[in-house]
Amino acid sequence: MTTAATTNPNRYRRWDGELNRGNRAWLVIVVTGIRLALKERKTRTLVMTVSGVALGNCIILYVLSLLELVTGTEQGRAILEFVRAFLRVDISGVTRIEEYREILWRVLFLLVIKVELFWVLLTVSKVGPGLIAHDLRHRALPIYFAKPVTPLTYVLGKWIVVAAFVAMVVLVPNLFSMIVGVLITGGLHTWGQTLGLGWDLLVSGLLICVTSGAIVLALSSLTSDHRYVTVGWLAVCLLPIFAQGILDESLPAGSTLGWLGCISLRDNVMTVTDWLFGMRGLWEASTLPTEAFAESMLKPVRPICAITVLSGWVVCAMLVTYWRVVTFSRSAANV
Amino acid sequence: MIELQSLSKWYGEVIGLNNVTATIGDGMTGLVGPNGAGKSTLMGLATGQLLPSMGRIRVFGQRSWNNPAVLSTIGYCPEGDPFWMNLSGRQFVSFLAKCSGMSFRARRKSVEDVIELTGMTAHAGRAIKGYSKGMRQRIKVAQALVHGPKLLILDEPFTGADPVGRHELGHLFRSLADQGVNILISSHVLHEVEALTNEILMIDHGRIVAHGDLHSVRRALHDRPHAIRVRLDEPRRLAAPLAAVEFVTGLKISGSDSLLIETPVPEQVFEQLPDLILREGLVVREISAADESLEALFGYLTQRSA
Repeated sequence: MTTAATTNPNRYRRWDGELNRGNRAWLVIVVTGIRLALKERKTRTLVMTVSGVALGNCIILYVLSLLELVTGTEQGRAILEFVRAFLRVDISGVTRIEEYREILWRVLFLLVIKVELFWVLLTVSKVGPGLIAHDLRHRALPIYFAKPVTPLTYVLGKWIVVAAFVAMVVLVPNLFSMIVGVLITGGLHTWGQTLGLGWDLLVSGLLICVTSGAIVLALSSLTSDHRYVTVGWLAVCLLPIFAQGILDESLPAGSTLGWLGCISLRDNVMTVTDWLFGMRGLWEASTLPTEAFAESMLKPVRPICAITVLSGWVVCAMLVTYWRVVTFSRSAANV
Repeated sequence: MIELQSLSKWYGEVIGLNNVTATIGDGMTGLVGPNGAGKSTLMGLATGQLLPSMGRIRVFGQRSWNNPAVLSTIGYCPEGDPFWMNLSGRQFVSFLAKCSGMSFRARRKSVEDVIELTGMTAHAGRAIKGYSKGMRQRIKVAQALVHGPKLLILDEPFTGADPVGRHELGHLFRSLADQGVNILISSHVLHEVEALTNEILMIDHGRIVAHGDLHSVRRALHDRPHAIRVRLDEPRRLAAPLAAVEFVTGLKISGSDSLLIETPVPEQVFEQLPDLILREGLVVREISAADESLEALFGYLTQRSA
């Protein structure tokens, strides 16, 4: 075992400069948290692999832009088949595809978000569980709170760490794909046509960041063992979906209340995203005649209920996190 | 430096500190007491992490609870391993320097200074998970010093360090105290606290059982005779004349080379011993005050307070 070198007591020069009183400790916690998480190979792999989804998205946007140029040709018919199979949108009767550009993009991005939610599930289960649980386990809270760091700053910093990773797998790839799509499709005109989609992507991305960050932090603050947090997070995300699926299978059609879907994180996030993307309105305006499309995208939307449930999740989660951090830091177990 | 006024802290039905009043002055003070005595609670209160249940605590004249101005003058080295194992030692110290509010330029120099000060320069670039216990203690001390605190609070800083490491850390703390850094140090290893400072604050069951200079505290225990240990080859030859001395209240021969003399007035015994030894023609290897050590004092006081 290597031993440390000798101390150099005579080297001590007390630093007596001014300390910055503006509280930027949250930023320090965020940067260090991200740096620490990225030291894990699995986390890096997860973040890297989502770029594959973004790349696929860019390729489809390119194919759609190609369709605008080759409508009516043999090649165009092949692309239309692809669109019908992949996006479940039948636009074979449409001559000016560019007029339907926004709806096609919205359908595509909605599909991509659904895929990316799987990455969110994995990334959050890798990054989030240890954030507070580790500090509780190693009694690291005193080392924060002996500095000018408040519990609020601490929780905020940890929250943003999760949010940053969720942004890396949802927000950043989507905004990147959109910019690439705009550039390959025609520049300014496309930008103006799809600006609303950009905002919707931003808002839906933030919604996913905020809710997943808040919930995993609350779970992380409840135990000092991050494995329990991982199990809890997966349970919160998947159990309502599985349970609702089982109920739907075992009970007669139409007899399930669907209340499990109401508390499901994924269902509520997708409901709000559907609403943000305005799929019903777009459908009605576009008169695109596809039953499959209607069936998959136009399920009854209840945004108020979903927003209320998600807000409740977030508020409760943040209160639990703050309460746990404050009470633990002031408990006998911590000193 | 630290003023405690009728200070109490309880956790539900468990009492951490019980109506404690004391003033801890400048310099180095050893905080000693058995497990659960209230040492860490006192440190938690001083570092502003715990809110007193009753009474008040002032550090440099100000309350420490929720007071960034006071917290930035305190360097705290907690017990345990509060590390993020994938960070290197340098990143760990730098992270906490940033949390303290140090600017980039100041931080860069100060981090290297404290790393060198604690003898960690060669290892500062490695991840903490590869550190030995002693290295972890050193890097914790480094983070406590990085922002130039006026008060250093060290909770069991010798735990896990090897003998050389303990000696060096002790040397470092003494040197820091000589350079004007106020230090409050807790340790279970009583002789190490004793080697660092004579100023002690002894706590048991949440109450202060002794506070002040070690020797003054011992002298204040009138009802407990002082013990003087004499190491020599023929203890019985010295015991015989000592038995006739008026103020010697007890004599114990342990083994073949040790005599323990009990007396309420040790100064008188120390005065007479050389004459007796010379008269008997004995060869003495050591004369020492057997119970003026912190350990003996600790034993007496915790028995009394129990």
